[in-house]
Amino acid sequence: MTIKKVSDTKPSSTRVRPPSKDLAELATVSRDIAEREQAGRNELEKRCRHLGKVVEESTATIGGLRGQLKLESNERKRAERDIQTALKYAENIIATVPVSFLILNADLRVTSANRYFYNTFKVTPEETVGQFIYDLGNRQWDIPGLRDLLEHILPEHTTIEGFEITHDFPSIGRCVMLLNARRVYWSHDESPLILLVMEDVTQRKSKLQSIQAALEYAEDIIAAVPMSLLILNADLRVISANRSFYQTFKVKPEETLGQSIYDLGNRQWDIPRLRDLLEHILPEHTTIEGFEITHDFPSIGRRAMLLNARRNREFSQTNLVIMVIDDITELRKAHEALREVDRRRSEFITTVSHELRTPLQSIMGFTKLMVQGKVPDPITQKRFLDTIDKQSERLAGLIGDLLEVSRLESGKFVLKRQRLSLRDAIRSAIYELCSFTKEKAILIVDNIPEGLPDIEADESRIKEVMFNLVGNAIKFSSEGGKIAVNAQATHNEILVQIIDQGIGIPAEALPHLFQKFYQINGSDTRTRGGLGLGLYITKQIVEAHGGQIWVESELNQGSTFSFTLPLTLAPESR
Amino acid sequence: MAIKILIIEDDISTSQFLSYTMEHKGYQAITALDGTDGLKKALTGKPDLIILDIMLPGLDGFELCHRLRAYPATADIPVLILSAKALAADRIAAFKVGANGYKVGANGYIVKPADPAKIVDAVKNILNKKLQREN
Repeated sequence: MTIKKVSDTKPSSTRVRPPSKDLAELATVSRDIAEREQAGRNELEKRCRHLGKVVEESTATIGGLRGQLKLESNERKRAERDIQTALKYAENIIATVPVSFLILNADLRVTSANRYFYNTFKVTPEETVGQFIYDLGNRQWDIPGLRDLLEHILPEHTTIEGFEITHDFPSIGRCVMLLNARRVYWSHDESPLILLVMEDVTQRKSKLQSIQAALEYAEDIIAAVPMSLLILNADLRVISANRSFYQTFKVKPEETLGQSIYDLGNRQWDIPRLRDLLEHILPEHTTIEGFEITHDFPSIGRRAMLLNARRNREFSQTNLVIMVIDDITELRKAHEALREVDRRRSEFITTVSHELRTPLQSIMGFTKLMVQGKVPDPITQKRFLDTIDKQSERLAGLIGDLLEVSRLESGKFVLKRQRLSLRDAIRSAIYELCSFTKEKAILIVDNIPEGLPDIEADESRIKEVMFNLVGNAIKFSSEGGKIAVNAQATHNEILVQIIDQGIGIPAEALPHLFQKFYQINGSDTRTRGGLGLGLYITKQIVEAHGGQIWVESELNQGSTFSFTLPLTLAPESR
Repeated sequence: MAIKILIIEDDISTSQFLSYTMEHKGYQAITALDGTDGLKKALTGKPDLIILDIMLPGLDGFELCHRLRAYPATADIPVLILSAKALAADRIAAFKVGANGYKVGANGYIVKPADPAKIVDAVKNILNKKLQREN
């Protein structure tokens, strides 16, 4: 734009001046005026241009500002909307989350609570908002743990998480609550609010507890089973083992876990039959039961192991092998021992049967011969009757011994103790045996001192002991032999010894001599018959009296049987 | 010449009873009280039949019987076992294979106690069979 300002300069150009000098002067002035006019015009133009520019810039600025203002207003509106949305969002969350939400002010009064809180604790907003937290619902929130949290712990921390309290709420019963609390300042001049989030973890807790209990139960069982348990992965490496495994095989967890089963304990588990089981049999069967392995384990010796194995595919994709190892070595031993008892019993029955049948053969044979009139000679008849008589007594004696053992073992063996002179008892027994000594012209030397103190004992049993011991001495003495019977008293017992000069007892037989049914193998003893019960019964009688019995012997030199009887009753003896 | 019966029996009373019974039937009886003596008397006495106990001191009846079968002089002598061993297994062993796995090869088996008539019948039967074989 161009503005021409010419009106101010017009009056000066019309002024009258003298001619000549005045003309020249006029001309100069006129030039001057014209120049000034020009300069003024230039200046004006320049200013006008500047002004125009300023106006232009200002207009642009104003336009810009107007746009910006419009933009800011939109943003604010959007932000407000966002805040509203967020608030609603938060409110919705607070309303819908299955946790109780409580906002308290600094005085611990409820400012607000969420729906879940009201539902859970069966209270209404009217009886809640504005209340002191401890007063809520009949003071059911006055819980020491909560007081602790709100009054002591929270003031020192901004946030508390996972604070657990267990409480009997009158309205809902016993609950486990997980509390999260947070102190919040909305602005600097206001006092803080407390956000309290309460989660009822009672069910979760009880589920967790039952899982925990089940786990502990399983672990207890695994630990308690006397069998060794080994869990292997698909590569047959040990994942876990139980206490029994470590105890049985004398290994430590650190040398076991992660190891290949074959490498365990100096490769002591590298057993062909086990390889067979794990690599061939188990892959084709899910379960293997009663697989028995007998193996010399370097650490524990020869053992019989019963293996039960199970592949577990259901439980995990790793295809675990659960192996139960039962050390049945003792069971096997017991089984063997039982078989030995059984063997001995049937041996005993064979022996008894034989020993009973043998005298019965001559009794039956001679009787039948006589009954059938095949023995007409009276002298022969008498001889046969004598044999029948002797064999009957032998039979009765055998049956008596069997009954005695049966009594001894059934606990029906009762001593009839009475005060008696051991000297008289022994002498009476020896006297009764005299008929047998005469047959073989055996001399019995009685060395029993007169002043031998009396004892309390069962007279018939003591006589039985003497019959057995002196009877044996007679049996195993050669004709014309000598048997000494000695007795002496110490301060608390009487020692009786029966010394013969007979055939003696082989050293290997000595330890077994007092065992039931023991018979010395050999031609000389077998012919003398018997069940091998005499010395067993003798030992039982002596021990029932609180005494001891033992033997010393040298082959072909003779034997000495010694027994003691206590002078005073042992309190525990029968 | 009388028929000779060797009685190998360690129980003296039974031995006396068997001797009397055999002699009463007109047989000649010789006795042995243990296995070793029995083998000796079987080899030297040339008996027509042996009555043999099993549970004998020294050499037991099964082993003795097996040995008798090994000697040409005694291989064909019939053996009647008279034993207190009453188990079926013993009876089977007497006819077939003994406890040590050897052949026993007895000709008869009677369990004690036995009626003398039964023993006599068994002896007669075995002797008759022997006669039939020889003819």
